[in-house]
Amino acid sequence: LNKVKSTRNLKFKKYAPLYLFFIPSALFVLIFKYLPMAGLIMAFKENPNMLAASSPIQAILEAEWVGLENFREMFSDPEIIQALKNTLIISVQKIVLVFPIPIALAILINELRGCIVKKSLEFTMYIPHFLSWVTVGGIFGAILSENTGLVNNILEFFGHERIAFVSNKDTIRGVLVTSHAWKNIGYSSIVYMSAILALDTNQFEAAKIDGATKWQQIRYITLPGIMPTIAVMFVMRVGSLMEAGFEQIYVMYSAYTKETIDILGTFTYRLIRDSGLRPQYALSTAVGLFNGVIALVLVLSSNYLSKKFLKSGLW
Amino acid sequence: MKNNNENVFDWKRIVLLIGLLASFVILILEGVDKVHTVHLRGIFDIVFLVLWAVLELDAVFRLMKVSKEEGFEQYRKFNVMELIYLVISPIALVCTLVNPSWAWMRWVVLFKMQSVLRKYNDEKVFQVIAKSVALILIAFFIVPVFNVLSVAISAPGQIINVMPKNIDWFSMKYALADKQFLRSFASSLFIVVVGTSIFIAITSTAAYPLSKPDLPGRKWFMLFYMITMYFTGGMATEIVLADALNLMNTIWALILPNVISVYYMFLMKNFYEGIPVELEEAAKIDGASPVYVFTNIILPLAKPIIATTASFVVVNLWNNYMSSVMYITSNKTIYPVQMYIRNFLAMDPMDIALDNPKLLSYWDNIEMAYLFLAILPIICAYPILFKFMKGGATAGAVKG
Repeated sequence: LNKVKSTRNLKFKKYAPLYLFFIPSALFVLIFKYLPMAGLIMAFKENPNMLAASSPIQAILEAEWVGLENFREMFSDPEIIQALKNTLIISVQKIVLVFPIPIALAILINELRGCIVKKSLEFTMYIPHFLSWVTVGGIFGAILSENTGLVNNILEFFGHERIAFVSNKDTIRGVLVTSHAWKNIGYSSIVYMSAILALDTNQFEAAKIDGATKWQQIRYITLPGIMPTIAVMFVMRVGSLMEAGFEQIYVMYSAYTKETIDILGTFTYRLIRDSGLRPQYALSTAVGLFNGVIALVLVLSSNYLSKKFLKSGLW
Repeated sequence: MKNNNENVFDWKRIVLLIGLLASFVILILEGVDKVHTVHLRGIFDIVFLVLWAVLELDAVFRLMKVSKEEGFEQYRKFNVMELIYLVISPIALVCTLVNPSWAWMRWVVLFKMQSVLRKYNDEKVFQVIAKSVALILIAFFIVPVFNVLSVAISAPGQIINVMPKNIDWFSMKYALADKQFLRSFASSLFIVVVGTSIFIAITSTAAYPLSKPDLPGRKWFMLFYMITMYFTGGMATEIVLADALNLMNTIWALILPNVISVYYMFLMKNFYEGIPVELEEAAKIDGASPVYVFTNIILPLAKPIIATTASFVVVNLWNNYMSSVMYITSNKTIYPVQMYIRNFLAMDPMDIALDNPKLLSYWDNIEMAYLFLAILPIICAYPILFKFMKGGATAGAVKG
């Protein structure tokens, strides 16, 4: 035992200066990540009166404990229930409609022969990923605009009516899914492309000699080969179900479309900034905490499932 | 599976392919076009019927031939799609003739695709299909961006789809003359430069001890950082924190909360782990301190991963507008580009056009000019970003 202790001491001495390397980042993490977590006590207190107290922290400490009152208020507010519904609907739509596309895209790029088309597809497909949601929102607002937009010009050419996609509560979710796809499918396909590249090329050669068609090669070699990657990505995607895309929705959000795309994120924001009344810090924290806890449970359980059944996970 | 038999009947496969393609064209035109081909509807119906008859006959012949030679089981095994087509398409067709609003049922012809394309099992045909899909995708990705530029440099009041018409630089000049807008670029630049510097300083250092597998307590440090990736206090608490730290309405609120990225820290850690230990050991035997080892051996070797992660942090900081939305309520002079653009796009043109009516007619173009200028830096940096991306920055997630 002594020996173990002494080697540990030796190790500690050897590495002691290295702990100093943690200090700057640990400070940032403590202040900007962990301190807000301490602020979660607001969820169990009444709304702090920021103006009356000397500092925000003082205000939070002085506020009365109310137990689960904020959560009770939350579940009795039909607007929040609607926001929760919207969060889930938008998220599920994005998963179901957008998740398979990068897989197909990766297979397509892998099968393309010849340089120019392949290279230019690869070069163009990541561009949207690097644009901010503000600019993507602006671009989609422009090409979907009712009076001058490209898409409506095409619709009109074929004799359809012009549609105000962005300010119509029935079409806005389609806009969300489409712009989400536009921005992300190129980037998301990278992981599948590297998975395909890692496959054994001999299998393809053998299949070709046996006379397998391209379709059969994709279906019986490529897809099963990258299935573990697909499964892990899917599980992780489901883990982020509670993120319906706050940044995206915030730029496309308007009074016309509030009903169908108001998500928990935008709702917590409005409680503080757009209420016009006293900011509802406590209620907003409660909604945020509810959202965060569900998200955490989803991530943990999907990681657990992925590790158990697919032998690979996030950590 | 190509054999001589099918080569002899080459004309047959060509007829089938053309018939299939023609059916698709008719279906698409009928579904999409309501102007140019309406008067052809009757002819379309007849042509479609004929094509259907051809495809259906082929299906029947194949069924008979294959089940005679190899048995029905064999046919069913490899031709499920065609069997479905054989059975459903007559019913569907009758339905569409009875009730024209069921025309979508004619898409049942999709089921025939497999059996027709199977006869074209060569690389060339596949490549043609794949390339056409690829071209459509390229257009999908690039046209929206190009449209912005085209509208920005065109004269107002025209329909601009892809190419600019009647070049008019008024909107661009107007955007470039906007002092506030230019100041927002300075603001963004400051955020990016300072933020990225802090990011490199704090992340590259923390990743170093994490890359030592036998560092006592390493697991706890990993956990300490990792928790923040999956759980946060939420927006309300972050706003209160910024308030408590007196960061509200200062440019530091747009920098400090965004410089720590645990994900990139772990990427760096993974990279450090790949650096041979012998290099460090040699220096240590010579009596070098850990700081010396880090700055003179590790950092120079880690340049690629630092450059890669830093470039993505630059993009994230440049594109960030959530911080402005959360932390800036009154001091609009420090708005970064993204927030300025957001507010500009949300503006009512009437407010500005009061003292300059010309602006009203140009408004769409002006908006796009602003948007284009905001995208321009990203487009310019894109070739570099693309290179880093191909370098595999996404490899190796968080494995500890």
